[in-house]
Amino acid sequence: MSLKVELENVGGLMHTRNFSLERGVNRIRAPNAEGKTSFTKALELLVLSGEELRGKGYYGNLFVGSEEAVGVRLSGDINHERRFGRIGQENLKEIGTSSLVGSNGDRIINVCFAVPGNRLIGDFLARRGVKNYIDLLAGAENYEKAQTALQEIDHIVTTKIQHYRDLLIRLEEYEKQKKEDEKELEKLRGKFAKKPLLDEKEIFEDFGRYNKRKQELDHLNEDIASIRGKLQELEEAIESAKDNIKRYESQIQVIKTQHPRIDARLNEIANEIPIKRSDFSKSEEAYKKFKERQEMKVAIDQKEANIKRAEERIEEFKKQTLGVEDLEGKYDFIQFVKNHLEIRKNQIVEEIRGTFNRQVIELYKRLGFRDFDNIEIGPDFRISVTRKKGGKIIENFPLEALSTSERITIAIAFLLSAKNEYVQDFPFFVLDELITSYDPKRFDIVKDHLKRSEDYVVITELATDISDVEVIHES
Amino acid sequence: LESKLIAITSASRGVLSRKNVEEIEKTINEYYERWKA
Repeated sequence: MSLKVELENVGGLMHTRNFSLERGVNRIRAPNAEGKTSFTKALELLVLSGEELRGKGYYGNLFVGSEEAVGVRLSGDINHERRFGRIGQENLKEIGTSSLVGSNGDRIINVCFAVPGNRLIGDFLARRGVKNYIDLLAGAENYEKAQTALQEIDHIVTTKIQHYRDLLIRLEEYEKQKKEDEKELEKLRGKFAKKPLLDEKEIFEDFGRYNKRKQELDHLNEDIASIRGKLQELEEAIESAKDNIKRYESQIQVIKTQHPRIDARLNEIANEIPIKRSDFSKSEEAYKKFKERQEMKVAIDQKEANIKRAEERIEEFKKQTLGVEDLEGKYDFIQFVKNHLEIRKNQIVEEIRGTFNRQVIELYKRLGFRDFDNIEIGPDFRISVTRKKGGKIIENFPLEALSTSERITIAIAFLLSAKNEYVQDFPFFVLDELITSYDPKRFDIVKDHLKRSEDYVVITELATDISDVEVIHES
Repeated sequence: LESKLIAITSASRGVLSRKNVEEIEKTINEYYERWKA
């Protein structure tokens, strides 16, 4: 059975172009800039979701034709179609179609496409370890994103708990204050009960009466002062008016007759003053006692109001802090989930490391290579090999020290291991000419293996003897 | 719970949006209620 691949408006392959792939190796041959990359990118589009395409402008740039829609259609052995519309100049969106397999297109591409952009190949060429690639396969980023989101939620919950705790502290303060107020109130009530009950009306009338007397006394004192002043003036006038004595004799006579009467009145008033003063101080004393009692009553009322207000606040705070225990439980639950995600992420990463440690050396040998007896990822995710050199076995030989073609060969063994384990249902394995060109002899060995192990192997090749794309099958 | 959370995070590219975080919070609340029971 063969597989028909129809591309519509894909990059360098304008309009509708049909290709036929056979099981085994399919060499996509073309001169430079004639559509080899467009072909492999079109296969990538079979699995990328709209979400994964977002922001990846280079897919948009592939479709430079004037058409608004592009498509990739498989028929024959597999029947599937994907269509895309443009978003602006650079981005694409899916139009009513779905991924060929699964949902993690980015992972599939990084497993089944041995192209320069492949993350594992990129890391191996840069002599980096395999940690990033294992994280990609494990979906570690998704665990980390979930942990970050939980951290945010955690922060919100912690802030709420802190707020509730502050309320609880204030609640405690109010309760303490209330107790103190209650004690004081009890004391005040005891004292108040001992105070004799006074007749308020009588006290006020009495106080009013005596207050009036006090005013009268004050007026009398003023009168006396005024009369004394006048006497003083008159005496001075007598002294100074010697020349007029005769003229004023009759007046002097009148004044002299008045003088004893005024003196008598003054004496009377002087006698009244101590009596009135004594009456007034009695009244003042009674009023003072009455005022004390009144003030005590006001203090009691005040305390009672304070206690009532405290009770209302306590009640309100109790309502507000009702959820605090639940929030503390939720906080514990979030910690539990966060820890669980961390454990699970590490578990998945370790499982993948274990799988690679078991499978990569086997695949490497199955590919037909015998340079290494073991290929191992250490706990630090650095790769080392066991190799024979001059009859000696060298263990823990670092990947970084191997040649580029040796590293690329090991990378392909990693990709095939990952494909066997995680992307079994994607029917293509793509090899770019840049990858195969490092060591054509080694590549021929790899190709022989791929013919047997993979459904559709697509290998791009630069051809200078033709002017258009051609597909050569090698079964 | 793990698969629900991972489904939410894997459906979004890059940094999670406010909407994603709210969805995660909703899921956490739902599972917390079950956990309590």
